[in-house]
Amino acid sequence: MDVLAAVNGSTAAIGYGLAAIGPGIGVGLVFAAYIQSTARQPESSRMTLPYVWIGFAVIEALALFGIAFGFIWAK
Amino acid sequence: MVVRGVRHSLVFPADIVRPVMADDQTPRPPGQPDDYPSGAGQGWTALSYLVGGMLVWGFIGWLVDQWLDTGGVATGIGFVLGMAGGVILVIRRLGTPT
Amino acid sequence: MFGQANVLAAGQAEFPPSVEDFYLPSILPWGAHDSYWVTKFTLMIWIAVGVLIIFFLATYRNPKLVPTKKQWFAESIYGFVRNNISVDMIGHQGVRFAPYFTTLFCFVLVTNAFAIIPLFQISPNSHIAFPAILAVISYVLFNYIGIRHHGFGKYFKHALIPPAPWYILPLLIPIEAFSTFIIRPFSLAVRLFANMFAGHMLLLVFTLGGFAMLNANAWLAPVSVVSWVMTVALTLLEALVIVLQAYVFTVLSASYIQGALAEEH
Repeated sequence: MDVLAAVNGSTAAIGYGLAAIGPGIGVGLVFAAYIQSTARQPESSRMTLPYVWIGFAVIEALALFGIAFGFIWAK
Repeated sequence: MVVRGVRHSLVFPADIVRPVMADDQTPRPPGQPDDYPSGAGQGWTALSYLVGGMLVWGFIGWLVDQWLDTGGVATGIGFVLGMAGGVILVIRRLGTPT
Repeated sequence: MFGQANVLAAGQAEFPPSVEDFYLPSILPWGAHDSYWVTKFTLMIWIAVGVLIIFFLATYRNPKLVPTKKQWFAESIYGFVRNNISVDMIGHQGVRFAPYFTTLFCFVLVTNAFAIIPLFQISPNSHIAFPAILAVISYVLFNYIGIRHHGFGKYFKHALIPPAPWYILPLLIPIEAFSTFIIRPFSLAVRLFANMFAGHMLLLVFTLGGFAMLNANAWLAPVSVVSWVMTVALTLLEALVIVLQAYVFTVLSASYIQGALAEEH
């Protein structure tokens, strides 16, 4: 069968690029929420800061998986 | 000698001459240091737990891989475990409200 | 230090800049190859140390209760580091460490500032050696303070064992050890080094790029001017980065000492 079209290069790079979209938006949402809540009620900033780190850690985990598996699965 | 309740062996003029300049109105009452480093320190700590967890257990997984020759599976398991460990550490150390 | 620009103006563009541009010619012996003991960096470090010693000595020669302008300036610097860094991070025990932090902050600030001062135009901190030594000093200090405060075994127990149920501790302890004892000094040094290296590299790219374009084709002159305007803008950004990196280095050192002194659980 003839090859009509082909894409050369590293699909791991494409995969990592796609994988970075979600966590980028997610971390942005977390910090936007923190900044907004602090703007509305500054005294609450110390109370909500721990939740910022929980959210950041869980979301960033996926982004870091993206980097790591990009290397593992690259040809 | 004792300056404002703290014993110093070597006292600097700026600490005695200028009590007004020294401006003792710190936002938190002096005495107990805070339980957690604030702001920038916490951010870098969170990132270092996540990345460090992945690196350490990924490396251990890679060593197991070389030893048992499982062809990459152990490294992957190591990465995932390390990431889980990093997330648990961040939640436990930085995520509990004071 | 004018060698590169003169070579460029003579028509041989050394574009793009590379890591080789960070290795400056040796001063003593003059022009020797592969001898890096006394270069412009050595002179810059000596000048930085001299400036700081002379500044703080001269402004505190005869301290008065109502401060003179120079005395007020020196006190402002010390007061800023003491209140906003030491006492804020460590609590009122922080006053003990304020002299170290002031020295650290001022030294990093002056050596960073050499990156944008004419005739120097490169920061010694763009070689990993200088930030590495500063990071090692902070590292030894916070560990020593922790061990002296808690006792040797208890300090490591306190630093390495997170609040978690006993069955997942084996998973977490290597991560804690790596993060506290390896990543901390490493990241302190590399953060400062990378910022200074990248800043200098950017300035080199835009400056040398302007010359290279001019040498390649005289019609590109307007683009060269745009490139040089970018250099000016980046110099202003570099000024911000200089102050910020000095502040971050000191704040993180203070935060590590606070962590070592914390009584917890």
